[in-house]
Amino acid sequence: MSESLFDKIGGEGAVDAAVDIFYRKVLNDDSIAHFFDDTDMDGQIAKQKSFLTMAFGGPNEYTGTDMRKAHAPLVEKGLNESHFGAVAGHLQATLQELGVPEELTNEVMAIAGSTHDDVLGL
Amino acid sequence: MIFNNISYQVKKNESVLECLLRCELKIDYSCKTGNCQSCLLKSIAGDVDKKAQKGLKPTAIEQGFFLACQQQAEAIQKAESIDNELIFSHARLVNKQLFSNDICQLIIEPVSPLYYHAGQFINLKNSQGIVRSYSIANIPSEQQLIELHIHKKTNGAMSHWLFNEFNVGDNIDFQGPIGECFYTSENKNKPMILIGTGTGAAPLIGIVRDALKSGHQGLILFYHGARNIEGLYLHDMLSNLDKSHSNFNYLPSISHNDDLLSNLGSNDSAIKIVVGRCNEIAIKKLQPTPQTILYLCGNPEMVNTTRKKAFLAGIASKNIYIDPFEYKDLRKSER
Repeated sequence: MSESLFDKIGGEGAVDAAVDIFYRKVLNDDSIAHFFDDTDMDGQIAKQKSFLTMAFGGPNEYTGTDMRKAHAPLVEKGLNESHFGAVAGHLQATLQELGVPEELTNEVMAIAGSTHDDVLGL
Repeated sequence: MIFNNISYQVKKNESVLECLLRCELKIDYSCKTGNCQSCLLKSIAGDVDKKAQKGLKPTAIEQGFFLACQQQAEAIQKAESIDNELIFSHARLVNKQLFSNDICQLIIEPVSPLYYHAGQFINLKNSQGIVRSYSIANIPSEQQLIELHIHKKTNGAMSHWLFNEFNVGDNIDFQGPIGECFYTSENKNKPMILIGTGTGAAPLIGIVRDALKSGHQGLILFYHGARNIEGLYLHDMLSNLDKSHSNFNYLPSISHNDDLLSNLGSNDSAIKIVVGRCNEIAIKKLQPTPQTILYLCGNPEMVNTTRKKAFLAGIASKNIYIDPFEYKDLRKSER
């Protein structure tokens, strides 16, 4: 049996390593920080963690409907294409910072990209 | 939703606590933010949200216990209150002394030994049924005593009761210990920064006592902030610790420069009191390492903004321990 994407990246350990770097980048980006700037930092970190787990091809309970429902309030606040692109950029930069090989990064970005329509409510 | 065998009409998006309070039921609650665990109920039928069981012990989760303030009422078909005896234990007040005009120290003795970590909190419940959380300032010892620091709040029903009507020899119910904000010896060699406002110093001094007893090797910075000098109620004790432990630094500050000079005259301590907000002073001097451990206790706004700033400055999220002192909203209607 071939190793899964999640295992190749480094499993849960990789998610733990990535979550702080990724969330810091997002909060430091003024164009998107307000979507993530909740006083409930634990909740926010938990959300980033489950997002990264999904993007890394790990075990998750996300469905398209969940994605749609979870992001609907943000779409109402003006979440659009450019914000989606910014978050994707931070994800890519996080993976580069962690030294994830290019072909794995591409796979992760493809999974993240597949959420596009649900996240933006299209 | 059926609660204690009576059916209640549930509104969309309200919590179980909101629903029961709206129906004018008398149930225990305090912080309303999912931290204090005083609004614990038991689900008989329904889907309990994950966040309504955050911080609960596995045994409590197995029994279907949940935090009423964090649980959507719509998802619960049937729930009931939990037997008082399962949640509350008893203690006796053995000593009470003033730290300052509006801060006092209570020493209580639980009827049965309590296993706890300094820095965790317990919920006191008085004879009128008011419940409030207070942090434990001392480390476990053979005498089995618990030290709490009480700040007398303006219009604070519980703190006024504790100040004026709770006397040595009296009994009180308590729940706990609760909370994750405490010292672990695996952090022994790591630099540790503690920031507390007001009686946020109570859990922090507990954590420091635990660290020093465990032979903590890393540098410890203790930032205590108060409005005025009187609020720096542990000044002498922390100054002494600073003198006797080379790796412990006490950094007091006051946010209002009313009477700094006149009061300092009578104080021959060598520790300098700075004017400013303790969290801002600490963040300015922050030199984060991947190992740095941060404890934040006291005013919720201070705790939450400092947590975010420290995280953005490079402190790992898992290394930040917080204990925001949420105060009960005294207004009858919702915000």
